[in-house]
Amino acid sequence: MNAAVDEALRTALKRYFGYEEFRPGQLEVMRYPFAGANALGILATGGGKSLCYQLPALVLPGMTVVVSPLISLMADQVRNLRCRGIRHAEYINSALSAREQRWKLAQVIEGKVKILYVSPEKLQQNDFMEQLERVPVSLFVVDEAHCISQWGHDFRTDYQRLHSCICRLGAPPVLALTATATRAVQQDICRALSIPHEHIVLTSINRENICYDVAFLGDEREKEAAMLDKLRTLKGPGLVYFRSRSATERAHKLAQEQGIERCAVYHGGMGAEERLLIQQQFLGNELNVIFATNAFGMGIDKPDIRFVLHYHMPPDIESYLQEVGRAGRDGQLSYACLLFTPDDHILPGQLIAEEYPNEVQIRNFYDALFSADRRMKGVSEQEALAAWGLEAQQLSILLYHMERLGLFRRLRRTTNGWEWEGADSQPKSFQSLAQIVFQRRAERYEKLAEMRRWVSSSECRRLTIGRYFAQEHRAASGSCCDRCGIDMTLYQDGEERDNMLEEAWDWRQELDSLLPVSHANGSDERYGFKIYKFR
Amino acid sequence: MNIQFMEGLFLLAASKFQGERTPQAIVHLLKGRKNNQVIADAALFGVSMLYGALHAFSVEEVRRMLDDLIARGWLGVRPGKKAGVFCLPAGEAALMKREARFRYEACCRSVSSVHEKVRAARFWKKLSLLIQTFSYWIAGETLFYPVVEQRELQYEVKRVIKTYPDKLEAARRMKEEMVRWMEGLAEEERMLLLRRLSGKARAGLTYRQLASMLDTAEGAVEMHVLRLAAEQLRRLSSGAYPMLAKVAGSRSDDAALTQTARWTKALLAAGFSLEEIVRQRGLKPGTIEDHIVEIAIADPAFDIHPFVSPEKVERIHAIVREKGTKKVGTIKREAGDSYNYLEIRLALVRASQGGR
Repeated sequence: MNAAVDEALRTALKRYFGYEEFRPGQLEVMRYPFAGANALGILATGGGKSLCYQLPALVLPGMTVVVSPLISLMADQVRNLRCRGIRHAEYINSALSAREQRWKLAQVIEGKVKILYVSPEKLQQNDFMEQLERVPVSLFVVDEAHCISQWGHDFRTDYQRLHSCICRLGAPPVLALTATATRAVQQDICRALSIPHEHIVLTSINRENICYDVAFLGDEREKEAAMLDKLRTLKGPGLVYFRSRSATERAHKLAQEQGIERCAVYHGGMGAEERLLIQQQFLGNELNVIFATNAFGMGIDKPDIRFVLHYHMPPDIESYLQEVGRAGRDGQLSYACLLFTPDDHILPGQLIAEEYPNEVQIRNFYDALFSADRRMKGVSEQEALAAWGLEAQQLSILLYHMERLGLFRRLRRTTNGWEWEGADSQPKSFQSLAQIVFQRRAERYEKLAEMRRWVSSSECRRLTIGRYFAQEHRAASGSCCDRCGIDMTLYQDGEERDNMLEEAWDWRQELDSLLPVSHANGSDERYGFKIYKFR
Repeated sequence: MNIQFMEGLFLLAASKFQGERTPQAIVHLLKGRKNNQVIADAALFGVSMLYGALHAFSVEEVRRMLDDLIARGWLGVRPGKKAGVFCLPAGEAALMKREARFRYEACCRSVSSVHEKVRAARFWKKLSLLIQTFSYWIAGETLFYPVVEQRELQYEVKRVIKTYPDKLEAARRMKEEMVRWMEGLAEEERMLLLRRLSGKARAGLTYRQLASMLDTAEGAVEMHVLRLAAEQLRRLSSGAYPMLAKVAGSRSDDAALTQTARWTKALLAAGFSLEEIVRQRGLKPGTIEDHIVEIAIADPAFDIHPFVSPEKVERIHAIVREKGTKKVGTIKREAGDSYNYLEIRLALVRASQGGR
């Protein structure tokens, strides 16, 4: 039976993606759903992770549901598929207008969708699930499966509740995929999704063509200078990652002042259309550098990104590898550099602190929920923000732990918040709740400390990354890392850069390049004038 | 977004309101609050183009910007139960400077209602997608990243394309219509439109990139693209642009009305009277009257004369001119008891649209 499945997958690979061969691990992962079994695939970022479920989705008879944590990632993936002529891909999340959601759901019910991307929050909505249950589902995919684990760097409480959704959809085979999973995270994923341990497909997470550099700098000014220097000398195209929107804007301004051409900003605060245009300019090599927050690039199918710089230190090694992994998907030599100043742990530390509610917030929320006169059965996100200053994420973390402690049961999402049912048992104390939340926060700080240890370690970067994920590797196709020594000429641009182009702009020429067909009333009149061409 | 440009939005709104609306009405307008009164006011004072201009900001942020301008002495608020906001001399001076640079008035003139603004935006999106599609087809490619993500608009574009069996010929005709359009525009306007469009050879520019190229504000660029689209929509009835007219679709195709108002419109079209509709739908007369006003705003061709006689419209317009007010209550006091609120509101709608 395996041979027939392999053959079907190979044919589909050629037909839809134009590849002749699978990459390591892909085929092995894909065989499980065809045998009706659950599996966990761990493949390096840029190692063809998405293909592991996209291909089976196209071959299997029913629909495939893909749970994905990031809205931008979903949109990118669907766009990529549709761009390959795979029109039966859709995504639904709460960011879409109600009208657009209804339209897409109708397509799903009519059986016109083969691959449906959904946000985990959406799967918590009962009315949505009732609709989805009407469609036969062949495969349930959990992308970025590390989000399921408390030990993961990006724990999402909604991921913990996927099990019941899978049952409601007729218990199809489950495929969990991630690029980064430590042993503890692997175990969590397997337990939560009923995956036998022998069904873990583990490939090397070593990206041999990426060179890991860390630049140690004295202060912010030195860091800016180092960034600009790299932008001037490195072979592009490339990405520079930041942890805040305002920092991307600042860097962009600085680069423009310094005459660095063809760069743009990308972050979640921009409108959807504007972001799409920036992506397309980048894909079409009209842009050379993008200053981005981590909203950029998850699903970008750009194979020739030559460098990834980090202006801010990510809060953990997993995030760092995920972002760096966007470089060199074509297998060509690529360069990654973390720009580091001694104060750099402060920002990620703050960001972690903001993710969790503080003691006062926990206390007040707890008291409000269990005060004698007011036994709450639900809360809206707006109310939580107004009454206790709880952000949506803080609220979901708090409620998640409260349910786990048995303070209430059957916690579920509503369209604008949460509802639950009262518990039979006597509620546990406020202390145990605070304790568990703070413990989680401490674990995140520990991950940050791990990241810092990696930065300051004098050992080979590649070796220490591998060790963190319980792997043993050191092979590199170009230079390995700053600790082993880097030949920068491998990553630098030999050619002189063009300076600002001054060209005549002519509207007829512009229209000709948009629509290169001759037209009947072709007038020869040319109306040109000098303008700085935007680059 | 450019701060001067944003200040201008507040100043313009206040200057148009002339103390007849509250400061909060400006916040609702610029935030684009989905509310019939806000939409009706936008049409009444000729500022529909500003509707939702600051939708990306929170209500609190917009309110704060407004309060800043009051504190600066640019905007004044009349005391009283219904505090009216107006532009102080310093504000008017600041507005003039900003008007010279960003030309808001031209944008406001291009649409008479929020519905027209929405229609212009949809027209421009569909046109962008159609031109991108042609651009790839000419290169022999059918797969690309569409610049418009809304499936619904994608479907409408597909429907247009299906009516042309010869794709290259269709592309050629599109180009002809584009040339005709561009020939009538100023050089900067051509650049604005053509550089925003995406094709096979290159992707379009973002509003921000266009703004830095033309040395203006991001928001101004966006507004002028909409203005140009809206102005082109008005030229389509000439018959010189058959393909663009198809892309625009008919006015009633645009689902700009609320569901409930659409129902009322259908009943009116079927010949039911206001009273009959009230009875049949089991709603209050005031609600149905709101629908009729909404329909009149959305559709300048909607006949208001079954509800208000031409003589009354004439008289109401005269009062508006003489008293310089658009307050329904003031007009009613002036006109007398034989005039009801629906009559006055409908006449006001047509006054702001320059017709009767």
